Amino acid sequence: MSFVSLRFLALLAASLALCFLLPKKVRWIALLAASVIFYAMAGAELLVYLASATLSTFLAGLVIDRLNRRRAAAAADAKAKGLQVTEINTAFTRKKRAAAAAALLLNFGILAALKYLDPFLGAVEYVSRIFGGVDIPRFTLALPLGISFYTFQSASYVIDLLREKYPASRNILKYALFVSYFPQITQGPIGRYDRLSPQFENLPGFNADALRNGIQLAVWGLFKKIVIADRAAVIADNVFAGYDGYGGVIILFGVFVYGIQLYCDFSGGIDMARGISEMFGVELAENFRRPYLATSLADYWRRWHITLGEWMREYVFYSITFSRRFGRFSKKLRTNLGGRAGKVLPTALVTFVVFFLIGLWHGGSSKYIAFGLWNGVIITFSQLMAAPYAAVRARLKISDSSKLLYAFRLLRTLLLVTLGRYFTRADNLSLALGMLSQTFAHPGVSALSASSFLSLGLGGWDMGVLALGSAVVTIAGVYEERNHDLRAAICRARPVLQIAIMLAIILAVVFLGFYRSGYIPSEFIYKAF
Amino acid sequence: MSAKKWLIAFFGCVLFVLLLIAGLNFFVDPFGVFGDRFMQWYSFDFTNNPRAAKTAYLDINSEQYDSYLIGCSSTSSFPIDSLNEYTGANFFNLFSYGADTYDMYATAMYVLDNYNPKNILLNLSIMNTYYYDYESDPLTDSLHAKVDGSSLLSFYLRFLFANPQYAFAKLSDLREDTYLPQTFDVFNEESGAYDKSVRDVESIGNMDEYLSAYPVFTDYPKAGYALKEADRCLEAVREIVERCERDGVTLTVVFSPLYYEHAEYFDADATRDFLARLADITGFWDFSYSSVSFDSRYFYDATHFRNSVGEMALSRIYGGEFYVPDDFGFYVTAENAEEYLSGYRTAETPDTGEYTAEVPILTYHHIAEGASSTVTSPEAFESHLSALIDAGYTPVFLSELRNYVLYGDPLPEKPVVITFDDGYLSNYEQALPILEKYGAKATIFVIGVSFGSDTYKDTGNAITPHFGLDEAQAMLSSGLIEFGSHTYDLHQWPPFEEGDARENLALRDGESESDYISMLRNDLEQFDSEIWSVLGGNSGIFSYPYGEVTTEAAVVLSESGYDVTVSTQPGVNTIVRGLPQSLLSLNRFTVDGSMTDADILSLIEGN
Repeated sequence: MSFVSLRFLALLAASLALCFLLPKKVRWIALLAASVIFYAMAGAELLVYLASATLSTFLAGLVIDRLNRRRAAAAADAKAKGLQVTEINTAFTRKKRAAAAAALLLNFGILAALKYLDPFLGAVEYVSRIFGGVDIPRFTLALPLGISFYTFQSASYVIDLLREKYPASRNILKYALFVSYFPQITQGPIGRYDRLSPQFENLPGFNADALRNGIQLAVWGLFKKIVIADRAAVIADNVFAGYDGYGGVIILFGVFVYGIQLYCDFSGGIDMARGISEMFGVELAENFRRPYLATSLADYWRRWHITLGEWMREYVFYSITFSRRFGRFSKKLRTNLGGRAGKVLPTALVTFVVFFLIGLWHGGSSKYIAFGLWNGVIITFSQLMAAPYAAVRARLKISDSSKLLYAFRLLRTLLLVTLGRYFTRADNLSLALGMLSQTFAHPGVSALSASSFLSLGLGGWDMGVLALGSAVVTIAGVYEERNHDLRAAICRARPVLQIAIMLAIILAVVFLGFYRSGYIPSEFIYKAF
Repeated sequence: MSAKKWLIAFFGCVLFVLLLIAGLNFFVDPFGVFGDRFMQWYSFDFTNNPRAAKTAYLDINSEQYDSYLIGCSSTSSFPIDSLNEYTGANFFNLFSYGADTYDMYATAMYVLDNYNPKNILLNLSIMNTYYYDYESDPLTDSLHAKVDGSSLLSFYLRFLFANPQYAFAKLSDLREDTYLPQTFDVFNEESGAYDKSVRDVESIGNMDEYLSAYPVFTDYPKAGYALKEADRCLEAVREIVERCERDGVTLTVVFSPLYYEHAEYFDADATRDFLARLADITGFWDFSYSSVSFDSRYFYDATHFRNSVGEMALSRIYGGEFYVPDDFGFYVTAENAEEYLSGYRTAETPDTGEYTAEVPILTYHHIAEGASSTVTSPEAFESHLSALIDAGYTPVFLSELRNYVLYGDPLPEKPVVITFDDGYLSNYEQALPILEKYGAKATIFVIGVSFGSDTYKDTGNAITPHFGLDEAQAMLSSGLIEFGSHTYDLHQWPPFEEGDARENLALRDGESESDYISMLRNDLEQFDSEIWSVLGGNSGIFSYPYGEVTTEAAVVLSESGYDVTVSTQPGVNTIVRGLPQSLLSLNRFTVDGSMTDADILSLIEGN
C-alpha cells in the first residue's frame, strides 16, 4: 500500500491514536498490529513469506544465542582452568555458523528464487536458443512486499548474533515488529536490531515535538515525491521509452532528470518513512545525505542509500576482508605484486564484489550487473589513481580546498553518476549502450532549442514547477551540507513565517502534487462523441 | 512556536486547504452535481459529465418535464420540439455520451422510480450489444450515485474534492463563453440534447464538398465487434418494458439509424438474431439500415446521424409531414419480425437521383435599359427567360425547393430559380409582365428600409425607385412572385451613410458577439413588423447582402424561422430530401446585363 493514499492515512491515524492511548509497555503492539495490517493490505497471502523469514531467523537467533552463552561459559571455564580458549571458540564457531548458514541460505534462497530465478531462466533460455535448444518454462511469482528489505534486515540480525554483538530477542512478536515495521518495510531504510529494538521498547507515546518533526519530514518527502519526482518521471519515461528521436544532449538531460526523479522519489519515500516513524517516536537511520553534493563516486555511495551501503560494508566487505582465507590471499598479492597495486588491489577486488552485489540487489538483469561493474571499475580506478592525482595536484599547486576543484569534483561525480543511470533505467543492457553511444555520437547541439526540451512530455508550466521544486531541494541540501539543521532553523523562525512555509508546502503538495493528474480538458472529454 | 502550536497550525492549514477545495467545487460546481445553484451553467456541467449533471439538474427542474429520452449520444438527434409537438408531452433528453446498456437501464429505472413519466423513448444503438457496463472515469463518466445506487457520501466527496482544475476551467471558460456552442458547452440545457445550432446551419448539398469537409466517410475507420453483451442488453430492455407496462408508461423503443459502414462492424446474421429476440420482448422501430444509411450527408460523423434524420424518424413514428424515405423505419413486432428481418441489411446503394435535385439559381437586380452587373434590359431578361424555357428549364419558387426537401414534394425535371435582389420598382413594372407572359415564377428579395421608396432613407438622396405595398400585393396576387428578406437595413450604401455603413452581415472589427447578435435580431424584428406583417407573414426566405455569411447570422436566421437562404457564391445547388441544410447559403449565379442567352445556359450547365 502506498503512503500516498487515504487508506494509509486512516491506518496511520488509527495506529498513532492507539499508540498514544496504550500504556508504555504495550505500545509496541500498536506498531506490530499496524505493520501486519499494512502488510496484509498488500496481499495477505504474502504474509507467509514474511512469517517464514521472521520465524527462521528468530529460531536461528535463539540457537546462536545459546551457543554464544555456552561458548562464553566454556571459555570462562577454560580460562579459569588456565586452558587454551581458541579450540573451544573454533568448535562453537563451527556450530554457530551452521545455524546461521541454515537461516541465511533459506532466506537468501527465497529471495534469489523469487527475484533472480526468472531472469536466470531467461538467460538460460537465451543461451539455449542460440544453440537451437529447447524452450525453458518460465514463471513469475508475486514478489512479497519489501522482501529485499526484511531479508537484509533479518540477515543482519543473524550475523550480528554470530558476531556476538548483542543477545538474541526472546519475544518473537517483538522480533516480528523489527522485521516487519511498516514505515520502512517497503523501501527502507534497512534497520538494525540493536538500533530499533530499544526504541520499540521505549515508545514515548504522544510527543508533540516528535509528531511535529515527523509530520515535517513526511510532508517534505511527500513534496519531493509527488511534486518533483512524478513530474520528472514524465521526461525520464519519454526519453527511455524511445531515444531515437532525441539528440545526445537531450538524452543526457533526460537521464539527468531521471536522476532527479530517482533521488526525489527514493529520498522522498525515505523521508516519509522516517517522518512517519518519527511520529511514533522511532528514529530510523538516515539513508541519504545529499548524494548530489558528493565529490567522488565513492563519496556518492557513502551518501546514497546509506543503509544498503553500510549493510554491504558491514556484512560483505568486512566479512570478506577479515576472513582468514582472504588475509592469506592479500598477503600473497602484496608479496607478488608489491607496491601500491599490491596494497590496493585486494581492497579493490572486494569493492568490486560489493558493487556487483549492489547491482544484483536491484535485480537480476544483466544491466544491473553492468551497473555494478561500472561503479566498481571507476571506484577501483580512482583508488589506484589517488596517489598520482595528489602528485599532479601538488605539482600544479592546486589546493585541496580550492573551490574550483570542489566544483570540478561535483560535476565530474554528477556526470559519472548520471552515466551510471543509463544502465539502471534502460529496459535492457543493449538499449543502455545504444543510448550511451547516441549521447556521445550525436549530441545534436545545433538542433537544440527551448522546444526540444518541451518535447519531452512536460509543458512549460510543469517544467517550471519541476525546476523550481528542484531548486528548493537543492537550496535545502546546500544549506544542510554546510552543517546547518534546516528543520531547527525553521522551528526557530517567526510563527508567521513558519505558517507561511507550512501553507506553501501544503498548497504545493495538494495543487501541484495530488491534483497534477486526473484532469481531462473538456475538448478531450467530449472528443469522441 | 511550540510544537503543540505548530501542530494546531498545521492541522488548521490542512483543514483550510481542504475547505478551500471543497468550497470551490461546491460553489463553482463544474459537474453540476450540487445543483449548480450559483452559476447555473448547466450546459457546461452536462458537457463535463452528462450522467451526473443531468440527474442533478432534473432533481431541481423535474416539474418542467414529463417524458424522457434515454440512450447514448445518437439519442440527441431526435428533435425535442417535434417530439413534444407530436406527443403533446414535455421531453427531456437524458442521453449521455458513450452510454452503455447499464447506464440506460439505471437511468430508466431512476426516472421510473422518481418522476412518474408519461413517455419514455428508449434509443438502442447497435453498440449497446457490445458494451454493458464498461470502466469509465469516476468524474466525467460516472452515473449519479442516486442512479446507480452507490454510496452518496463517497459520490459527493469525490466531487467535493475533484481536481480543482475543473472548477478553474469553468471559471475561465465562462469568460470565453459565446452564443454559439464550444467544446466546453456542447449541450442545450433546456432540452438536454446537444446544441447542434452550428452543425445544423452548415450548408450541405454537394457530396464532394461534404466528403472533403468530413473525410472520415472516405476513409471510414475499420473495426469489428461481436454482439457480446446482447443477452444483458435484451434482459435490461425486458425489465424496462415490463416496468413501463406495469406503470402505464408509454415506451417507444427505437433501434437507431446507422451509417452503413458502421453497421457492418457487426455481423449481419448476429444483428438479425438480436433484433428477432428484441421483437419477442417488445415492438420497436427499426431505423438501423436503409437508404439513409448510405448517404454520409445524413450523418454528423462516423457514428451520429443528423437531427434531420431524427426528424424523419419521428415523422415515421408519429405520422408527420416531414419527408421520410419509403424504406426508412419499420415497426418490428414478434409477428412480422421473421418476414421483415429476412430482408434486413440487403439494401443496395440507392440512386441519389431519387432524393436529390440539382438546381441553378439566377440573380437579377434592376430591369431597365442598359447592361451591368446590376442592370439588365427588359429585352435581355425576356430573352434569357425564353432561352431557359426552351432549354427545358422550369422556373420555380425557392419555397418549392423547401417543399421538395422538407416534405418530399416533386420538382420539375429541370428546375431553375429566378431571383431579384433589392426590390426595385422595375421588378414590378418591367419584369412581372415578362414573367406573366411566360408563366414563370420568381423570388424577390426586399430591403425593408427602401420598401416603396425612391430616396435613401431620411437623407433625401435619390435612389433607383423601389416598389411598395401596392405593387407587392399585385405581384403576390399574380401567383408568380414570392418575397424574401434582404435585411431591413443591413445593406447600406456607404456614400449616403454618415457613420460606418453596414453593407452586409460581416462582423465588424471589435464588435462583440452579443452586440452583433442583438443588432441582427433587431433588424429581423423590424423586417417582421414592417414588411412581413403586410406581406402575409415570414416566408422564411432570406438573401445575404453581398452573399456575406457568418455562422452567427446563420444561427440567428435559423432561430428566426428563415430556412431557405441564398448567397452570391456561383454554382449549381444540390438539394437533398430530408436535409434542410441543403437549403442554406444556396449558390446563385449573378446575371450581368450583357450576358447572352448562351452565356446564361453555359453558366448554369457548367460548360
